[in-house]
Amino acid sequence: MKNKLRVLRAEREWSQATLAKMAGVSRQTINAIEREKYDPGLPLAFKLAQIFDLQIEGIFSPDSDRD
Amino acid sequence: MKKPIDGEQLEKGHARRNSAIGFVLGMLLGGLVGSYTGNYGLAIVTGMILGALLGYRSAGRLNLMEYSPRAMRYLIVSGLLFFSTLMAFSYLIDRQNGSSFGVMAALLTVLFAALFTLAVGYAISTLDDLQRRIQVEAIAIGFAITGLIVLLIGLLGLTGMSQPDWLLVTPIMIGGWVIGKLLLRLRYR
Repeated sequence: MKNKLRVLRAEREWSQATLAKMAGVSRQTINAIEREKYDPGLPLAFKLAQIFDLQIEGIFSPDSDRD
Repeated sequence: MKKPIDGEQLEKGHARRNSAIGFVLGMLLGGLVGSYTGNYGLAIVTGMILGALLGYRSAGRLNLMEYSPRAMRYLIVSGLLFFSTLMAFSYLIDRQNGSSFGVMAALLTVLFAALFTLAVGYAISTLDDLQRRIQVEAIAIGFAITGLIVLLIGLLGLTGMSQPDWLLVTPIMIGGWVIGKLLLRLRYR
């Protein structure tokens, strides 16, 4: 899946470690999500949406979508 | 849009430097332990691996595997107990000629190995989903590597070649696991 996590994080000037701590996961997980090497499970996806105050669809999109 | 400051590059440099220092110190310490136990190979390899890992950790970089503090305590204590018992067993066993001491010492060593295994299992359970997946996949890779090496040794034994010590299976398994983790680290880099 594609995501806007890196952009959203950069807008808030958060480090990967900071976001990882807020989401309760490792920095490696945030890095893997940003690089689209790993798709998070539902609980983590909802957590990230809550952190950025967005809907899940505002952060993640299927691979077939093109911006 | 400002670039977020992660300190990633700085951390990577420190991690590489500290890993190299830890690698050398671990090798030296392993050699020292090996001089007492007579098993240089295992002691040196173990020292190198542990030294590099501790050096990496000491750079302040987040653990590749972020275990909970309790899990780390369990790992360290059980690991030290196991390693100490193993070294003591290696050192003392030559001085006992088939007495019951040897059997009891072997059982005690395996008991602490079992405790260490449980600590590893608990530590893995405290990881997040991705890291748990990496560990499980690494174990599977280690299983495959161990199976292939043991198969090779067995087949070579049928051709008449001498069989190595069975104790080598454990370090082969651990080495296979480490190789698996390194390969998976490249995938999720």
